Amino acid sequence: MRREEVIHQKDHLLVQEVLAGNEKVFKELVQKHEPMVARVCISMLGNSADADDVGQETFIRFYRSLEQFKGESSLATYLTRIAINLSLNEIKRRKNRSWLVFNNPIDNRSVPFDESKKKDRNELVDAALSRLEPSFRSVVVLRYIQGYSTKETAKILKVPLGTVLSRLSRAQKKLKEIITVLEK
Amino acid sequence: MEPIKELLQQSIDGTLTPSEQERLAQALAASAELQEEERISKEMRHLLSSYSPAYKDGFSGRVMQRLKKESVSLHFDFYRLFRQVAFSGVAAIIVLLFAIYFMDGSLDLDTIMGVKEYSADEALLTYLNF
Repeated sequence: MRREEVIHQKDHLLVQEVLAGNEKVFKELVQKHEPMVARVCISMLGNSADADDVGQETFIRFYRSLEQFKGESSLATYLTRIAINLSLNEIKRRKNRSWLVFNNPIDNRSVPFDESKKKDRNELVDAALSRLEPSFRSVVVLRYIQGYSTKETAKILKVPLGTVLSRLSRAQKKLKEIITVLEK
Repeated sequence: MEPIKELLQQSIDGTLTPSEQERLAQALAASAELQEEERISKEMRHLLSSYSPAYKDGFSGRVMQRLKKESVSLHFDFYRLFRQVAFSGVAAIIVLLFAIYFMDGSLDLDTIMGVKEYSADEALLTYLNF
């Protein structure tokens, strides 16, 4: 049995235990998948309280929909789907709030880049991602940070494969330009 | 047939068949733009694969606390609603009893049921119908 299949089965068994009333097992599931959810939410929203809130909400939503989880996709993919959708919703909310207070309507998540931290790759990537528009950011997060194939990315985002390929092509060029400017 | 850009992405993942590799190689040889895209894709993949942000310590504890708070809140809201309905019901019954007492001067069962003026047979029929 492949490693992914083993992990998938283990997760499925843990879910069954939570459904049977074992709440402690749910905490195990949270701890297990926290790094993955953190990568999605922080890369979409920046290292902020919002990203932490959205991460928590991801697991709360998962808990509330446990009975609906049939195991057709892996638990990691299921959680990724929730996390990316909640992150995109949060970005929309931020834009609406900016519009209401007559601020810059563009996603104002832009992270100022501290040049003294050039060597910190996480900081560089965070600053660069913050300057990408959300539709580009989401394909980059799923494809390059989470490691999904372009087909899996298209399925998660519920967009055609052609759209993912087009966005990815434009996103990586844009990201390259941004990083070049930040590194100067 | 897979579009060339999809083959390019699959080549980065290392999942191409030999015939697909050949197809891609031909397309790359014929297009400087595609070569540039391949170079950038590999560079971005390399850069982003090492990106590893993390939450502050105690994340799972925060999730469990929030879950507990929301479960308690749901339970509390239901209990509070039930209590409100119960108190309203009791208050309505007390007001009704006061009204009956002030109008009829008595709180016996016949007065409450509204059959004080009836004969015994009529009262019995009323009770049976009720």
